[in-house]
Parts: sequence; structure tokens; C-alpha cells
Amino acid sequence: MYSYIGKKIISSLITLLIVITVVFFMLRAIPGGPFTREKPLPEATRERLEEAYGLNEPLIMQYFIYLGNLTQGDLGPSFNQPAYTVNELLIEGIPQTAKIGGLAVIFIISLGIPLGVISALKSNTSIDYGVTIIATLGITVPSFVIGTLFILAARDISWMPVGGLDTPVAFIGPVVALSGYSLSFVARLTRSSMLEVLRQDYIRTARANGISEFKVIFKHALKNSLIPVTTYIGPMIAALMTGSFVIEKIFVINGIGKYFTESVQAQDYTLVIGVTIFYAAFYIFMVFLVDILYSIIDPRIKMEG
Amino acid sequence: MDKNKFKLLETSQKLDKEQTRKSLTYWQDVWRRLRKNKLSVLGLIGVVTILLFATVGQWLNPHDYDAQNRDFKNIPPTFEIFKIDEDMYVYLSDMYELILVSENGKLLAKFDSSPSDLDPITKIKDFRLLDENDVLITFVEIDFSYSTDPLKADENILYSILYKDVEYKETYTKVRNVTFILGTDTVGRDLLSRVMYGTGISLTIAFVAAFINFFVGVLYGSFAGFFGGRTDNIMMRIVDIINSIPLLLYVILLMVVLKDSDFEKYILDPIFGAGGLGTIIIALISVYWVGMARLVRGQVLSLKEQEYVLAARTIGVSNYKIVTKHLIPNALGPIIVTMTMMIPAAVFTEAFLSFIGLGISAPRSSLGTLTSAGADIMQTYAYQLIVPALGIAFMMLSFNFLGDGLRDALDPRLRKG
Repeated sequence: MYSYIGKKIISSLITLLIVITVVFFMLRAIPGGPFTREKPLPEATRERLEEAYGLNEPLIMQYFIYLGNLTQGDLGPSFNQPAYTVNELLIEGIPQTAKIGGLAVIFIISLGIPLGVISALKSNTSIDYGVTIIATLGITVPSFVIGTLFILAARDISWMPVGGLDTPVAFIGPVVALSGYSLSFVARLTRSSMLEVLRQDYIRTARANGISEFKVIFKHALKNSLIPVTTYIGPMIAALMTGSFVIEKIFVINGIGKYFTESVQAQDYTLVIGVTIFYAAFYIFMVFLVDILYSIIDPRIKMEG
Repeated sequence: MDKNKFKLLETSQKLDKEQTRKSLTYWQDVWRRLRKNKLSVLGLIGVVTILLFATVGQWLNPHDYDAQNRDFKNIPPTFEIFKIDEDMYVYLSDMYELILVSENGKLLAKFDSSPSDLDPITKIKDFRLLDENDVLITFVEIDFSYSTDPLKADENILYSILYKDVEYKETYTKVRNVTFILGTDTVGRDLLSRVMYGTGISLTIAFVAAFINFFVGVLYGSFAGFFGGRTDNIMMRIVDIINSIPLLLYVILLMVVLKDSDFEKYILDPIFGAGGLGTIIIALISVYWVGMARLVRGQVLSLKEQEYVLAARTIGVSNYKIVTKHLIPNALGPIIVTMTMMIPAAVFTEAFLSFIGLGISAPRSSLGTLTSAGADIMQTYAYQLIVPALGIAFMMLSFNFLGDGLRDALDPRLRKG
């Protein structure tokens, strides 16, 4: 168990290091620097600025300096908003993103799994078809389309704010738009895996033994049919995070997604790299967590690196 | 049992009962099963419709996607007109531009007017209709005092039209815009042409990306799967690393790096045309091939242990022939499904990139850039958002239905009767 977790931690760290390296050198390969403006800065000013930000060092040195700072949790200053460091911007943005992301996760799990189970138990009835149609729409209509259409529909409703997160109602739009895809996916996944499990022999045996239908479904069937769903949860959270880029833009929320899109457009490279590293680390951590969780839920899966 | 009840048939009668139906080939069987699935037939019809819309549609449509009509900006698909004279109809747009229209909704000419024509006290504004030589034909006045004068508030209108000393307060009728069926955008380009062109661009991106993915993924995956061992280990570790990062992040980073680079300027733009089309394709294929590579590798790993491969090896078939003639054709089913699903994924990613400002640049359009542009002004001109947004949704639905149906049709395990 411990050696498995140890191996996983090491391989996660290696992956993260590779991501950082790739992202760092990719961004340095862009022609022009953060101080390239339409109106060129005076040579002396530019040199002073580059010295202040350590850009006059050789590239490889910059890389190691960046890595060194990173081990201390320092992501450097923001080039376009010199008053802030990347850390400060992240700390400011994360709570907003986490709020809608967290709510979306709760919403997806508490609605998607029951919908899938009901759909499987009542398969080929009108309830099942209804769930399937909604789920298909949720998967195929992009989140930003749902989001913008939501705002369009809500503009005439006086109590529905069109942006920000100031009131509890304001969360409805972003959370629904953000969870549309994953909610549908979880419902479909639960349905198909539940149907598969219900066909298994041990379910028939349980029924033959006279165990109540409630127990058969919730104790025997549901537990096993949730295994594929669990695997999906980790990547799903990451998808929710990247999906929130546009949601935050549409609903005017000051989360990291908005910083990311803005920094991409403003070519604020330190912020881009900082947010990317944050996302990648979070994602890798989630996958790692799911790996561990997976082997706890399903003892048949051996823990091997 | 009484044996006499049974008797031997004549040989000729026996042959009647024999199966004479021709056996179906694999692809005939797939087609037969695909046809049975209503949703996938619907998807197929949708895909064909989209293809025709983007190709034939553009050719049939009289307007160019990049032609700007300065006189007719932000004209919606339907609008309310006033009848101010025998055979004279006008429409006041949301931008407060007065347009001469025909009774059936054809846009004829724009009235000339400038902010200085508004009388600050009476709130009456002049609109002049000029001919080609700027000679005044006639003029119309609009009384805007209804929205500001408290005495006129109970009239519940925003303005009235004055023409030849008659005041018109009520619209005559609502007509469809027959000049521009789906209306025009902020610079007066025909929205229908832009959506058709945008659909074409989105499809081009999706198809090119899917095909290159196919080649890269199949090559990489079959190489790793066929040679196995250490080669496979190293190659799959690389895939794992790429796969352990949200792909969208990579795509965004690649877009940032490639945009306006020399590579884009000298290599991609000459091939795909200006506007960053090539950049998006490169960004998409450099990350999305991993899924295909994994799939092909898995298929090849299991297929290469089959007896017929051993048989081929025994009679001295080369490795290359075994892979191309025996392994890949047998893995084609799942490969095709993955490709079909990659198309909506690529369309979505492209739209997503456009939405955060990294897409195709004007005057070219894609469904994503159109949606993004529409979203900026949706409070006033909702149709400019709804049309491309529905376009994306329709496209995603069609390809998904087709892909789902293909998956069922190509999977031999689901074969029944």
C-alpha cells in the first residue's frame, strides 16, 4: 500500500516537473518579451526592468531560479499588473472559482447519480427517455452556449442577477452552465453501468435469497456500479476548472479562470504559467486521489505502480 | 411414437428449404444496423445537411461573408414597419437609423441623418432620403419626445413618425427581412453567409484535425503496440504524461505560443490562409492524438496474439504487411468511432478558443467567433448570438448521434440476429 502511494507520488511529481519545464520554455520561445510594447521603451528602462525581473540572466539560469522560487511557493510577479504578484492574484481568484466549482460538483453528484439510477431501474420507460434526452442535450450543447442563453433568458427576470456572485440566486446560472456536461455524463455513465451490474449473477442470487429490492439496489448494485463513476470524478473536477474559464467570463466572476483568459489575451506570461501550474498540479493531485480511492472501493484492483 | 407419421422428402423439396440468401460483408452489416437505429439516421441526415449548408449553401447565397453593408448594420431577421404613404414603408432600427423598406420586407435605402439633426428642445429628428447624386427626394421626421416628456408618458410609445404633417404612432405590420434572411451583424455583414462560412471553417478545422490525428495516432499506437516491451513502455509513458494534464490548457498555451509567430506567418498561413486557421489545427492535433494512440495500441496489443497473425508470420509476411494488412483493418471499427467523436470535440474546442479570444480573426469567421461576437451584444441583438449558438448545438448533436450509432453498429458484441 505505502510503496504504491510512494511510487504514485514520485511519478506525479515527475509529471508536474515536466509540465513546468515544457510550459516555461514554451512561453520563453514566444517572440518579444513582456516589455515589448507598441511604443518601445527606452533602452535603459527596459534593461533596468529586465534586471529587476531577472530576465537578463541566461535562460537556463532563469529556469532554475524559477524552480527555486517555486519550491518556496513563489510564482513571481505579474508583468501586466505590477502591483500584484501571481500568488496574490491566485489567492484572490481561487475562492470564487472554488465556490462555483464546489457547488457544481455537489450538484452533479447529488443529481446525476440518482438520475442515472432511476433511468436504469425504469429503463425503456418515458422517464428513462426523458433523462436520456436531457443528458444528450447536456453533453452536446457547449457550456458557454448554455451560459449565454441562460443570461439571455434571465434578462427579463428582475430578481435574477446577470453577473457576479453577490446573492445566492446568482449562483444558479454559473453552476447550471458549468455542470451541464458533467451532470449529463455522470447520469449516462451511472445508467449504463447500473444496467450492466443488474444483469450480473450475484444480483440474481441476492434476489433469489429474498433480500429486499431496496437492499439489492442500494447495497449490492449501486456500490459496484459507482466504480466507473468514481474514475470519472477526478478528470471531471479538472474539466470543471478549465470549463470555468468561459463561465467566469460570461457571468463576470473574478475567479482564476477570468485571470487566465485575461492573462492569455494580455500576454502576461508569468500569470499564464502560474495559473497553468496551479491547474496542472490540481489535476494531477485529483487523478492521484482517485487512483487511491479507486483501489479502496474495489479491492479487486491490485495496487501496482 | 408412430414412425409412419413421418416420411422422407424428395431431394428436390429439401433444397427449397436451404439458405440461399447471400451473406453480408462486414460493412453491409454495419450499414444495415446503422439504418435500424433511428437516432443515428437522424444524426447522419444532420451531418449531410450541415455539409450541404456549408458548401452548396454558400454558393447559392447571394451575399459574401465579408462584404460590409454600411447602410444596414444590426438589422434583425424580423422587424416592425410603419406605413407612411401609399407604397412607402419605413423601419427604425435599434440603432435609430431609419430605413426605407418594401411592404414584403426588402431593405431599399437608408435615410441620411446626423446627430445634429436632432432638435434639442422638441426632440424631433430629421431623416433625409437622398438619391445617388445626393439630391433630396423626401424627408421624414421622428418625434422622440415620447420617451422624455412626462405629459406623453401614458401613450406608452418611444417615438412617433411624422411625414407630410401626419403623425404615425402605430406600426403597420411585422415583416421578415427578405434581403438578409438571418439579419446582419454590427458592420452590416450578412449573418447567414457568415454562419455558412463559419460552419465551413469549423468543419475544416474538425476534419483536418481528425484526419491528422488518425494518421499520427495510428502510426504511434500501432508502433508501440506491435513492438511492445521497452519501446511500448517508453512510448506510453510519454502518452501518460501528456494525458495527465487537462488538454485544453495545452491547446491554449500552444495557441499563445504560435499566434503571430514566424511559424504561423511563413508556414501555416500560406497553407491554410490568414486568420490563424492553421494555428488552431496544429494546436488541436498536437494534443488530441494521444487518445487515438492509446486506443490503437490497445487494439494492436490484443490482436497481435491472434492465430491468424501467427499464421501470417509463419508464411513469412513482413512486419509492415502484418500491421497494415492484418492489424489495422481489424481495429478499424473503434478507430472510426473515435474519429467521429473527435469531430464534435474539435468543433467544441475551436469554439471554446474563439470564445476566450484565441480563435480565427476577422473577416474570417467560425461558429465559435460568431457566438463570441454575438455574446458581447446579446442584450440588444440577441439573434446574433442565438443563430450561431444553435448552429454549434445542432452540429454537436448530429455528430454525437452518428458517433453513438456507429459505435453500436461497429461493435460485434452488440450484434443480435
